[in-house]
Amino acid sequence: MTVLTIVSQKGGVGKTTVALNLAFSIAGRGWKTLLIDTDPQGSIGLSLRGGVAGRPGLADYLRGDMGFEDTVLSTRVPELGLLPVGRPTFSEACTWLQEPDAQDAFRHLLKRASEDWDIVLIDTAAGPYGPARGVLGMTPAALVLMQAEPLGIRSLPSYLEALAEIWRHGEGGRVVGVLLTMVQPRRAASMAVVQETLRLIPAELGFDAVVVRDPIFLEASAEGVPLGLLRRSPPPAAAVFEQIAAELEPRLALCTEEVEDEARSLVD
Amino acid sequence: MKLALSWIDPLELRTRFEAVVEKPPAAPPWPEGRSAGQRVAPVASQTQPPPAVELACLQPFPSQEGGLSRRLASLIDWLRGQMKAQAVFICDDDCLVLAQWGCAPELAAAATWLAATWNSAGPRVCPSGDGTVAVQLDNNAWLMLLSGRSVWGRVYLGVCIDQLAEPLTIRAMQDALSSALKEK
Repeated sequence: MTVLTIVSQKGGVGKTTVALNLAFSIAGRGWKTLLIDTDPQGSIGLSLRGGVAGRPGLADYLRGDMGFEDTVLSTRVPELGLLPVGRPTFSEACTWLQEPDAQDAFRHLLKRASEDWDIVLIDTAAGPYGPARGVLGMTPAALVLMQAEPLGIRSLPSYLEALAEIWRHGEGGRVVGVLLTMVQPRRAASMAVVQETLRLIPAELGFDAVVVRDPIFLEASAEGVPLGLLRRSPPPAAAVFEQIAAELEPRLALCTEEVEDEARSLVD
Repeated sequence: MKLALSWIDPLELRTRFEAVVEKPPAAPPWPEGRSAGQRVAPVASQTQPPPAVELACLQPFPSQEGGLSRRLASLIDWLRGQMKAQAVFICDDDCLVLAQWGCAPELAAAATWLAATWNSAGPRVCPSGDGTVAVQLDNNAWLMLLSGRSVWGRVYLGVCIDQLAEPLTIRAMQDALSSALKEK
């Protein structure tokens, strides 16, 4: 099983949106995907209709009140499961996933998840501190989201330094990519940040895909659905997550070695 | 529109990425006095006036018997003793490591990259294949890269020393490398 944590230096870069839509796309490509919300604020649940925000989840599991099977929600997509954050108390949220007992329980949860799922996607709180730090210390791979604005790229070195520090004192980890979000293609400053970022970061960490700032995300959020379920014919922005999923597969060693995977003729 | 929006030093960013792209491997420490995060200065030509370096009384590299690996091990010992080498790296023209001592992964990577570049561009720049490349790692460390011929092809020797070696010292290292590569 692969574990990928979606992280960012600052809030509001679209972490939850990316986590939700990326999980949807990865599952659509056939991988059994479990999306875990570790943000104590429950952003995933707040992004989805169906009363997800009020359901038990990770907090209840960590507390020992509920088992793994009881907290995982099945979804309309057969390969996609959802583990909401549940109902953490304020005091629990203050030390979220930083206490040894909670960390042991979370590790056990990941181990249990490996029995049923190919990949676990983890949505975190913003920044390298507090709840996000606790999660990062226990997870081996991170996808760094960076808003396509000057502040985003300027804060990247200090964030990478923090990640290195967390992994040095934790179980080790690596960045598998830097994904640009909130890109405004018609704004020169935004596109300049995109170009400069792709020039500065290691080539293998960049993506050909970027997530643009598109009103369709607001519409999907208002409806409480991932883009892929917004309409019968998904909007163009949904295709971006398909591409990101395809670019991530080799980086996460998600492969189908057993299956014959050769080019097929269009016309027999 | 300003070209640089990031205000980021690309070398610093690269260093930060190196720390998070792969898990840090267990490796010999970076030579004393430096950390892995420090920068590599631009390549300096040997034709630049070298600083005044006091040439030590060098013991010549003794003639060696035995296989290549043994001779290279002796060469490393000689470099450590006579040149006070902080690290030594020897690779072939495919950048395959033949022998090394005290090399942190960063230094090994730099040495193999230089060797590969030299191997690729060298024939056009210097058909004889002779010469030296020196890279200043910091105020007290230089990476000297030399090449020699063996029956298997060209071999590159990277030596990390505390001062830029002067021509006579380089010649002594060159002779030692040639001797170590020579089949008896």
